[in-house]
Amino acid sequence: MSYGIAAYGADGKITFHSDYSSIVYAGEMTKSANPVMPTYEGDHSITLSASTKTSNYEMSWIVQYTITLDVDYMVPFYKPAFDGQEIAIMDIVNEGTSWVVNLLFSGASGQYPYVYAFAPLTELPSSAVTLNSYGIAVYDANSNLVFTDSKPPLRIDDVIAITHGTTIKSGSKGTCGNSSTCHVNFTSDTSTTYTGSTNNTTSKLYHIVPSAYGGLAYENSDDGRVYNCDPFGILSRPYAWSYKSWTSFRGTVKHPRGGATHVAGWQGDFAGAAHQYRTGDCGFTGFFGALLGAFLVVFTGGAALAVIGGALAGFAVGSLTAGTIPSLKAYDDDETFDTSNTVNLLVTDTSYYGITDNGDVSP
Amino acid sequence: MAYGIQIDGVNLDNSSLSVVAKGSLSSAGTTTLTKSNYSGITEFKVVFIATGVRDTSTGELRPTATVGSTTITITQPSSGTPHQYLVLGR
Repeated sequence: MSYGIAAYGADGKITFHSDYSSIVYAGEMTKSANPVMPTYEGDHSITLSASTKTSNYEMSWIVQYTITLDVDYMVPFYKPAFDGQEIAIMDIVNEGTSWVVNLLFSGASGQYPYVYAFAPLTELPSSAVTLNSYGIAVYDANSNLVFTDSKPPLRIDDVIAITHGTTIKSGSKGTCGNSSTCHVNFTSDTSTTYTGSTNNTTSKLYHIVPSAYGGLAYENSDDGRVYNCDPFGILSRPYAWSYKSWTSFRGTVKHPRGGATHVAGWQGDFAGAAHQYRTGDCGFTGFFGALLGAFLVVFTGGAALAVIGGALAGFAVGSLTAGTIPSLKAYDDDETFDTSNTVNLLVTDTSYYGITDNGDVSP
Repeated sequence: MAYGIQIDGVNLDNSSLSVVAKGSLSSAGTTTLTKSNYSGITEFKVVFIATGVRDTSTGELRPTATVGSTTITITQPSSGTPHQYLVLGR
């Protein structure tokens, strides 16, 4: 630089620089839709009880936050609602002067994390920045405010590179047969632990948008003949049954307190189970193609889209996403995607920005 | 403090991340930034902002970033969806 100002921290790295915009705290995001656990409710669906959703399908809650913020770039940070809470920022959507964050969290429905928006200072409208009558204001060559003491810059305590594994569950899921009440167990059993340099505390804030996602699936079926066409059990009719279930997972991260570890694991965002039993007419004519065909339709992404559209009406599919209608995949096989992508976890602290540490959220 | 900057009675002795570059990714391709163009910056981190709802039924992949010794390479895969990127530095 041939002009301007630069300041360095004790670690010899930039604190502020007149060529670069600092990133500042821009406000707390508010919950704009109540947490939901969407499940498949179409043809032949098996109802998942609240306890089964967590015990067998490892589902977490999807919640939505919003903030009015007239910026083109926004970086959300979350503060877990309790020690060890598993969290994944799923989506970030900008619509005009509003920003929306969809987030997946473990725990009770009321234990949604706190979410705070940060943005480049140059992006904030002048009305959002009040300069002190004393102190420092730094402008770049285009006269944009890039640093001021009234808006503390993003101070990062730690940066950890996080990569999710390629396996969600390696152990047995169990089995289900011809039943409309049975559930296998999709609870994940794999995770990866990373160790940083800063201990996790109640006041820490985290930013990460995990890339990994995938699903676990289970399928069983059988067919045969049932001898119930006459009183003597001589004549028979064909029967067939099919059972399918799945959990769609997102890569999550938890931050156990008392140490500096961060655990990359998995939590379910969408699940379902279906069972169908059919019998044919007495004789040798069958229906097997029709039965399997019905299930193929049930478990395509298109069906999942319709399910989510109903389950999340006004939530994620509504006015927020007209151009990018989402579809949560229903899985036929165990799969993972985007697991080789290493994502940076940024760690900071509420105290640096005057954010009130509200502590934990009780169930 | 013996030297440095003090604001409101607080020593400003911690480094902070600033935005050294930003942009949008919509189509597949590679963006390469040269680290030496960013005066005073010795540490670079790239943050991606997925600016839309992820559709898990399409096998979508997020962009990746590699910070090398002289360059920062940001890659948007062919199955990627629109993202923003912020290159942060200190």
